[in-house]
Amino acid sequence: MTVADLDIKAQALRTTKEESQFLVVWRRFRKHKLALLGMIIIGLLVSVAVLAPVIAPHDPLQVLMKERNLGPTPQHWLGTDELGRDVLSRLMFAARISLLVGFSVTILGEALGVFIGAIAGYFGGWVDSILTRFLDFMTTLPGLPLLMVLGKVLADVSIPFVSRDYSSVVILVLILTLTGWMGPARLVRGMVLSLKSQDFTEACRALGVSDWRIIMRHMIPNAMAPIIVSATLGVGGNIVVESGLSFLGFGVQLPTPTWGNMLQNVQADMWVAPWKAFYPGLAIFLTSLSFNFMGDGLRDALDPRLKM
Amino acid sequence: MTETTQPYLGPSPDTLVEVRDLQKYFPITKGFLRRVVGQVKAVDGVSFTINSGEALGLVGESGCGKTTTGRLITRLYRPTGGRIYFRLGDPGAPMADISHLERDELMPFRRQMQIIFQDPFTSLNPRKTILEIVSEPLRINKVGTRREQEVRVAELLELVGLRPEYMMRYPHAFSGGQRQRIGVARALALNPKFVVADEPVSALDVSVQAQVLNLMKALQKQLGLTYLFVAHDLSVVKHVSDRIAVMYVGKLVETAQSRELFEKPLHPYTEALMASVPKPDPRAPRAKFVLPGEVADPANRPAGCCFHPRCRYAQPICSTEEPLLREMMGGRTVACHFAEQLDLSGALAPRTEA
Repeated sequence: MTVADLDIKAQALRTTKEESQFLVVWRRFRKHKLALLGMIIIGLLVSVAVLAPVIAPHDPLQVLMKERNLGPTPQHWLGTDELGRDVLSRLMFAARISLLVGFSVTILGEALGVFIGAIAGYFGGWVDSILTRFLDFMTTLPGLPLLMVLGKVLADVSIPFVSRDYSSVVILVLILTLTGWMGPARLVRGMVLSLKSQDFTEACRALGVSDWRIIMRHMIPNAMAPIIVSATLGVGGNIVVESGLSFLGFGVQLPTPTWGNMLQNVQADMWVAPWKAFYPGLAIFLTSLSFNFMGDGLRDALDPRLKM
Repeated sequence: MTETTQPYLGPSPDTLVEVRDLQKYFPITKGFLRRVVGQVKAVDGVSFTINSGEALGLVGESGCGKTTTGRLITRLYRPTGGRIYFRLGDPGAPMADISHLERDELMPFRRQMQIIFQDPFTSLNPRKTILEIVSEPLRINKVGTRREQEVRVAELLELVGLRPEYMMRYPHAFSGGQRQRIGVARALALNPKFVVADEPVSALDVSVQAQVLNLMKALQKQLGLTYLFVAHDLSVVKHVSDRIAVMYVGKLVETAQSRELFEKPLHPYTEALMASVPKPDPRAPRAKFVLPGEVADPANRPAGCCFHPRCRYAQPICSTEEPLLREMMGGRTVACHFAEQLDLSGALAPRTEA
């Protein structure tokens, strides 16, 4: 065959392309109305977070002692806090930190978990024994006290290339990652164990495909659906954990606002300025709920056994 | 290549694969420390040769070690003992011992020997298109450009009777028979000499079985392939094999030319296997007997001949002394103390000399 012939042939062969995996999933996802709503809310939150410096009506750190604990006013739509800072602006800037922490902890935690789980499941034997014991050990550590101790111990560590205002954010992300990879690891280990016993893995080995390539190109893509679902659900969970820690004063340090530490001083003023508790709480609630809806929708859309 | 000073030339210049005293024990482990409490002797001292261009059928009941043997030869498993020789070059070239080679050293051999799997529903990665699946061997061996690989895949799909237009589809769009054809195409991508077919049709509908078998036979002729055909179904094996080896609990009990084996088995187990083949003629007499009992446990093998608890010709010696595989006339081998005395009946009427 000449080169021209090859070209014609190759082109003709490509014409019958299947509907791509992504389109199939999207078509199924769209039918899940709550999941769609969740996605829209998350989209809005992300745009607000990204555009916060542009759209925030006030400087979130600006203290106005004359305007403390105001209710909603034309200048301050959502009122002000005990130092006279604009609650709406703080909420917008807090979204940046909370979403950033939620996303980065999830991405890092999932990556670490997938890596460890895939290695444990694929190699089996003593590698699996050691990793699984370690995983069990990590799971048995009581989460909140550990996070609090680590948060306190590491609070004053300065991290190169990160400004002091954000070093507590970076530390929090690292702490949450190191304590949050076990779920995905266990999930992926199970998936890989079942995939490993399927003949296509043996076929790869008979062809001489390296272990690394089998894990990266054959195992993990097949385990992707549950990983995506667990990650989506994980973002909401991580935002809640971050808020909890920051609320207790062990997470992101003031004055950098997060939804959690905005709640820090509200107990005292609960009856004077209840909106201070309401808005950050609502933001946490909405975000977490949206991610959960979206995770549910993705789970259904990615499950090939469920005919929709 | 083996590092020995004298290159090993094999039993005959035509031998492609030689297996000598092959063993595979799977340890039975217990507890956290993985203490070994026993061994499953899946394959225990199997020896045979396969000549170039030949189809050797390997038959036996489930759990007799036939699949393990196939996977040992393709080095999906590491043998516990014994040797596997493979001739990489032309007939007469030295044979290489591949039984303990590492992954990198095995690469040239992997191009020459491939495997077709039993279950076409698990042997294809559901997340890959047919193009990706069939071209994987080309890609990892860096054969040709992307476009050349695509054309090669089209050729292969045509070769196995599928429409090349379907190459962008995923495996779920195909039926069992079609998937098995895709498995065949993948195995043939690098033009191997030797293919292990591990029960390639036992998961398929009977009507499709014949199509796939005929395809494999045609491909053997067209491409000069050598097969090790693993199956539990004698009628399937009879259709494709030149020679047949019968396995029972990890050992060979009989080998013979296909026709001779079917006309006159020498081992009582072979006779029992043949008696169990259903005959398509409703008026034919029913099977003369049914094999009693269960296949012996390969972790706890009976003393003497493994088959003696189920054998209707068993004598006292059978439970104490293990019969060795010995050569009979006409190049047949059999492992039975009474091979000469017994007059066993096969599935085919003996040919009358014309």
